Amino acid sequence: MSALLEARGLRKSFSWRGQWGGERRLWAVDGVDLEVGRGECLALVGESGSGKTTLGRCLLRLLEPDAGTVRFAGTDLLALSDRDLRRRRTELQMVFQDSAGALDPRLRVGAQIAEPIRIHRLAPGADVEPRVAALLETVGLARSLAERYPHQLSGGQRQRVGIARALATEPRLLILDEPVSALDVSVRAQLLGLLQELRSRLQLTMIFIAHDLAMVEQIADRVAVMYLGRLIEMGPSREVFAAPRHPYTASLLAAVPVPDPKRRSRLATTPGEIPSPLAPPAGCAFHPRCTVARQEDGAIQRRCREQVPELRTLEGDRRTACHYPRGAKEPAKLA
Amino acid sequence: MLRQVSFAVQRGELMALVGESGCGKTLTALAILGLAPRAANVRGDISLAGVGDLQALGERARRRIRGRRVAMIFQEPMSALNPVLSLGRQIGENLRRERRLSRREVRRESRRLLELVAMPDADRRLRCYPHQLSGGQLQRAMIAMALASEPELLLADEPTTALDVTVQAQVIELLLSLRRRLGLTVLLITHDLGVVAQSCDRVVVMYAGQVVEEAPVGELFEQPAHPYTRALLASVPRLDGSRSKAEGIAGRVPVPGDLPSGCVFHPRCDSVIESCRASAPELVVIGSGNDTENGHSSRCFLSKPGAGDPG
Ligand SMILES: Nc1ncnc2c1ncn2[C@@H]1O[C@H](COP(=O)(O)OP(=O)(O)O)[C@@H](O)[C@H]1O
Ligand code: SF4
Ligand SMILES: [Mg+2]
Repeated sequence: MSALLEARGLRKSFSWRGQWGGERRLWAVDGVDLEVGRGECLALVGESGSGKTTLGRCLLRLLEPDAGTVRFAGTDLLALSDRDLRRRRTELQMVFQDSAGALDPRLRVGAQIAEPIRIHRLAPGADVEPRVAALLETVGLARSLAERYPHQLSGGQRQRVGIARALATEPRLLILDEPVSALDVSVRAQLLGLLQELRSRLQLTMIFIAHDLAMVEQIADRVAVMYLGRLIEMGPSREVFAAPRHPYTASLLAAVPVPDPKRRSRLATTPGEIPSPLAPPAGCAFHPRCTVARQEDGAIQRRCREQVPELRTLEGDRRTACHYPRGAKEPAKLA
Repeated sequence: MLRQVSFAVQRGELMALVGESGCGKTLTALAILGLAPRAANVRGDISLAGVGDLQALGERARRRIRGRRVAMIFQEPMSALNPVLSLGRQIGENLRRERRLSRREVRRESRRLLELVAMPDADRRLRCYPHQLSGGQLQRAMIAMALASEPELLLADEPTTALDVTVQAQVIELLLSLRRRLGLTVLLITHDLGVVAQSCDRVVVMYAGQVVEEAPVGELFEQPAHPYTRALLASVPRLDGSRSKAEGIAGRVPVPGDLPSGCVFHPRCDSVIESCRASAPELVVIGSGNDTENGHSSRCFLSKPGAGDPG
């Protein structure tokens, strides 16, 4: 599978003046390499604040990265002029995290879906309306919904409108930022079904962002797990779910409650919470919470405290950034 | 709003109230707070037809918590915490009001409560303001505040929905351990059947303001009787590849002012028969149980009423 999108060494920081003067800076994305094959669905998973949204926006150049490259279908996106970028924008679209916030409350649904068609002059005026109607049908909504305002829709319907709007430019790549996180399970399953159908029908390539592994198993071909701005595990989703190699991925999986009362297990295998990216831990950013790094006497492995683990290929298509990956016979060799 | 919701929570039990958003779960909890006669054994035949304003009910209900042995925690901890007071002040005020402790006792008890909810670095946290805490710590702080009145029943309204999974796991373990250590009775409102399966004893399934099924957790997952329960179960993703695809439920929960005729679930039901459109089924005991409180009951024409005899 040749890559449609490929990012290398992507970094993005945010900075502002601190309360007492002086600059404060955090690295929201801190050195990410990834590629997405044509027609593939890659899931980007991590807890809130891990940098998923920022990474997604950098990949589409909705945010300017501080460093790194992004190639889309052979083109270096970061080198494009504003004008050329705008022209290519139709091919890459994003569905935003907060569907209520992403839609304009004062505009009817139909007008919002028509907007990208008009901006990019994708259809003559008379064709816009039928096109909007067709898009609504594509996402499983009645044509009559074009006349409604966003607040008159349910959460699931609003997400579908967001998807219709993104599809209006006939993109090749769709980045969906937590499209189902805020929805009830019953609605979630339907929306996932729709996305799967669209994917094969329109031959879409997708990056699906989620904070919970349970949401992506059904749709993702591969998963990339993120922690404090870095990818810490990547691989085919079946393999990652069956045998996670990074301790953080393992704890994310253990925390998903199995819907079977006969199989109760310990859910909380990892203490603490994701630290602030303003003060990331030295060495492996996961080390303060990692149970693998903790030795019998309670001390933390020195390598984990001092040395940042690189994302390395273990075997086949599996990569992890850990000095002591699970299921490995011996610790990673020192570089 | 709520139409004849009735169920009983046994002392020391962890009972789940499940259903999609808009099914009346939160309203049920607020009704218990405001209207239930006595906590530990809440038996509500709570008819709430006249209650229009949720917000007003919330305020009044909150005032009524005092002196009743019921406390509630919410999805959004910030809604229960005061942003301009330190944690110590807020817990302290609750303690003085509820238990009339001296200054010294208040201080000791506040610390004990934070330790009880496994707040890291409890002493220092007493001086912290809500914005200085992480999401999981806020949730722990709110639970500590709820425990200040020594409640027998804790109503937990989607307490983990806004949290990350690893933190959700910690909060669920905390609720389980509080129940074990304090003999606390917990009514957990959630739409996550995974959480239910992993933590609860009994389950009440609500749809459009009604209880449609009630059962011990094992039985609910093994022999769901109501088509709505079955549809909810089919929507839950499974990570072990035991099912290829989660299904979802077409349509949406009806709004209170515009309920369908007959069985309220019939427009979305995949087993619908003629009588479902015409008349509304009763909640009946099914299977081997012999009373609605401990057994299995369902509100569906297709659920076979039990003889109350396991034989
Ligand atoms: N515009 C911004 N200014 C300052 N910090 C930001 C901005 N956007 C995001 N961040 C910070 O960057 C980090 C990553 O955020 P985000 O990409 O939203 O993560 P996620 O989507 O995984 O929750 C967080 O610590 C967040 O607070
Ligand atoms: S590198 Fe060390 S601290 Fe980091 S995940 Fe691996 S074992 Fe844990
Ligand atoms: Mg995000």
